[in-house]
Amino acid sequence: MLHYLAKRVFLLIFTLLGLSVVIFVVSHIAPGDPARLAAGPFATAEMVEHLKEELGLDKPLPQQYGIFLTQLLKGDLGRSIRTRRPVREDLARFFPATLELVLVSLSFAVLAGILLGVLSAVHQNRWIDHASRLISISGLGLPAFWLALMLQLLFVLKLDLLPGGGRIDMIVHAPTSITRLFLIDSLLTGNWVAFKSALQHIILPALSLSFPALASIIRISRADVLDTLRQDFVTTARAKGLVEKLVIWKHVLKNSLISTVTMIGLRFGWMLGGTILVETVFDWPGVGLYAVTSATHSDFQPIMGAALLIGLSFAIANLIVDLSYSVLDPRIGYE
Amino acid sequence: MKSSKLSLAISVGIITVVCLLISVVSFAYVEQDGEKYVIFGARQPAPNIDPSVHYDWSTRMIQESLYDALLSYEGDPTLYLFGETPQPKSPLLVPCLAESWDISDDGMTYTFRLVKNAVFHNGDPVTAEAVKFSFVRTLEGKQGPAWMLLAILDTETGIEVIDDYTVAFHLNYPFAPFPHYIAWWYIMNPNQVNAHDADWLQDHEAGSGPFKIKEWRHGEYYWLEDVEDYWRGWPHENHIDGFIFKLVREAASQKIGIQKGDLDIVEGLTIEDFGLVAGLPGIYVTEDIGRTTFGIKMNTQKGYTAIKNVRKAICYAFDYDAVIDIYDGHAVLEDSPFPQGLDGYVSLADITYRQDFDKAREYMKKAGFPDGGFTLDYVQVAGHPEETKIGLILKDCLSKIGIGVDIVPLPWPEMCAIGATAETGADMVATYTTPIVNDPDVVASQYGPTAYGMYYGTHFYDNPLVTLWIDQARVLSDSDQRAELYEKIQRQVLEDAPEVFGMLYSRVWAFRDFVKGFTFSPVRFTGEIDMYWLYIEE
Repeated sequence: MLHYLAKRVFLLIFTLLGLSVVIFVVSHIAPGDPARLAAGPFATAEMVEHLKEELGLDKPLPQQYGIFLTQLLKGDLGRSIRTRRPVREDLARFFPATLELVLVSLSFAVLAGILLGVLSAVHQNRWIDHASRLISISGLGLPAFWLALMLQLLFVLKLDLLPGGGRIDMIVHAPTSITRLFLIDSLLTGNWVAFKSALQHIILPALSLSFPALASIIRISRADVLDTLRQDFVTTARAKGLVEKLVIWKHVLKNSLISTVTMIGLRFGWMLGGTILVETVFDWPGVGLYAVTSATHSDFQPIMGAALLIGLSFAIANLIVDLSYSVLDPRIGYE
Repeated sequence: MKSSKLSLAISVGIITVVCLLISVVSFAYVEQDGEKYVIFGARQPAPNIDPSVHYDWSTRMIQESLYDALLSYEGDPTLYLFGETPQPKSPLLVPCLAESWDISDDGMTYTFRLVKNAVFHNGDPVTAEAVKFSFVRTLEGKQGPAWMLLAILDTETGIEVIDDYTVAFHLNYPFAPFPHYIAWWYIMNPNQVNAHDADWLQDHEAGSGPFKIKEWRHGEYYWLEDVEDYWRGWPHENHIDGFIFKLVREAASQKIGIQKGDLDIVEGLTIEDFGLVAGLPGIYVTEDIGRTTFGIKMNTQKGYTAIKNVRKAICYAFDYDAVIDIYDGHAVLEDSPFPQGLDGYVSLADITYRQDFDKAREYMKKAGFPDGGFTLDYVQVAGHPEETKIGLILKDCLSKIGIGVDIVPLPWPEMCAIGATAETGADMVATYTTPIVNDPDVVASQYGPTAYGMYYGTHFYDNPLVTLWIDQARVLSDSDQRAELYEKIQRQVLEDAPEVFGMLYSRVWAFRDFVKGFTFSPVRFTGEIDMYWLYIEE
């Protein structure tokens, strides 16, 4: 196992290195002069050249990449050309917001998706099956942006039940920063006011973001449970007199989770990189907005920082998924 | 037994969720410790508020609140409501940190005498040294607003401290617009700036303005509170105790916010939505004629648009009234290359271009293309709905004189890249431009070679006579002589038709009805408001 882990970590380094090269090259060959954009529409040619020198943009590309890599090894992700702010500080501020949103969304999608998938399979062709499949089709077909706006219209304006945007009420101080995930930090510090406010604010964006994942998980878990239900060991378990709930929720479910767990891992990555629309509608201060704004300004340092961070998170998630296979199926081992 | 436990658990869960949900309260404004903070919903953040480094509309709105300048643009408080016929307002340049100033006879030295009661937020007095420090810092940094005065002022010899409260600016050449530009140069406390590293001013302030920072949350909101004993005093006894610049990027979210009362002022609705909320109780919408002009710049040095008669044909073929319809009637057509209300503007309504296909065909014949037979690019910002609609209007109109139009939506960086030179420039470029001062030079200079490579210079217009008049007018101090030259410039530019002169769209904001005191200044960008004048009337 340790050997496997070491191999994966080693490969991860090369993966991230390759990712940084690709993004560096693409962001530099794309049209647009980041110095001109950062200097502003009225800046003179002299000002633009001065900024280029100050930011090292006048150096040859390989040298610029070398400087970036050297800084990266020291934990420095450079500065945004547009805002002049350190990328590391910005990511430390914005990434936890996205991570929290994704974790809450995924948690909901996993719990609800597996529950509905199992129920749908067990009660095939009954109302619960039809309802689950309707949710599944809707989730795959409805644009997240539209869903977010509709939820906002209904729950914020019409019903006045939930707040319209942001991460926490302005008059409620954010909880003491431990993990920078407001829900967890407020629980850890016993700040119930902050917990309530953070929970109220995350409900709608999490629902919007979770829908496509929920749809996929319902479909996959339904299909796998249906397949597993036909296995001989299930008949044997029932013949032995095991309670049906135990048959389904312990034996059938555990043997049906491999594909679902794979989907969860993939969805985690897609969610991390796809929060921009939900973040825009709900003014969620996350890394999606940060990265897209940087991209529209040819601001390559934040783009690289965000891409590397998301890439690293995705790689870690996939590692956890791979390791979980051996838990779900003892026949799978890593040497 | 098991089913009753399950029922109990479900009931408790439902009650908990309902209690959680129904405890959300909407505020009219944020009230804390008896202080009332108005919430301004904005689409654009202010990621760096260092006055020497960065400015755009959102940044400057914050900077204007935190800092003072030697002079200030004061807005006009006359209120025009949405749908009324607003009259153009002229911004007033008034003393601020400087109580008076003199100009030398040769127009090269400006001497400012500072007020003696202005203090920075930490109690330090605002002195001539602070003024010199601020100007030198910005000029040497060559960022932010430095472009305005980089060629005018030398950092070594250009700024002279005469005494604690007198500072002189020695210009490299006479520059009549000088006082207008310094209204955007904010004075920083050198003691505070020097006590911190270079990044400190990104999200801290060293100003003397009416507000100071209470809380700064990047990407979320900026909370400013009033300076109770602000040296200039407050214009109203019920002035706001501060405001929260809250990022609400989506227009639909802003609309929900103002309707629900989560937001007190919004700037980013569509024109249709402004019309909708204007009719709602508890909300009023203001409308003013802005100075942001829309024009289709035509490349005068390349391709078919280099032919003057082709450009004139395009100007006569265009449907100007359709552009007003795009803004639902909330726009006025330009009748001069200068926007209405700008100093030096003259109305050329009798000779300006309006749709006339007979004339369009006549000019196409003169150009040697009686049946057209070529296609032009129309470059616009990708995803900009008004520019797209205007492009479709253009396409339809020009098809009637045999000219095809390819609408090319591009990201802003790419538009700037191709617009850098005449050779790489597009045939036609959709452009919005806002003059940031009330001096005519700021618009006139868009029609000279110094504009090449700028987003407003994509026509690459070059008329040596116009350039000469621009340079002459810039250094004159006599306003009548300047006005004469600017009239000539407007007439000649109109005649040469380097662009389709479009319209000025109305500047619109929605307010909750207890927010009063709004003043409009046409030299402010996009959603920018001077918050100093606002007060609450319940």
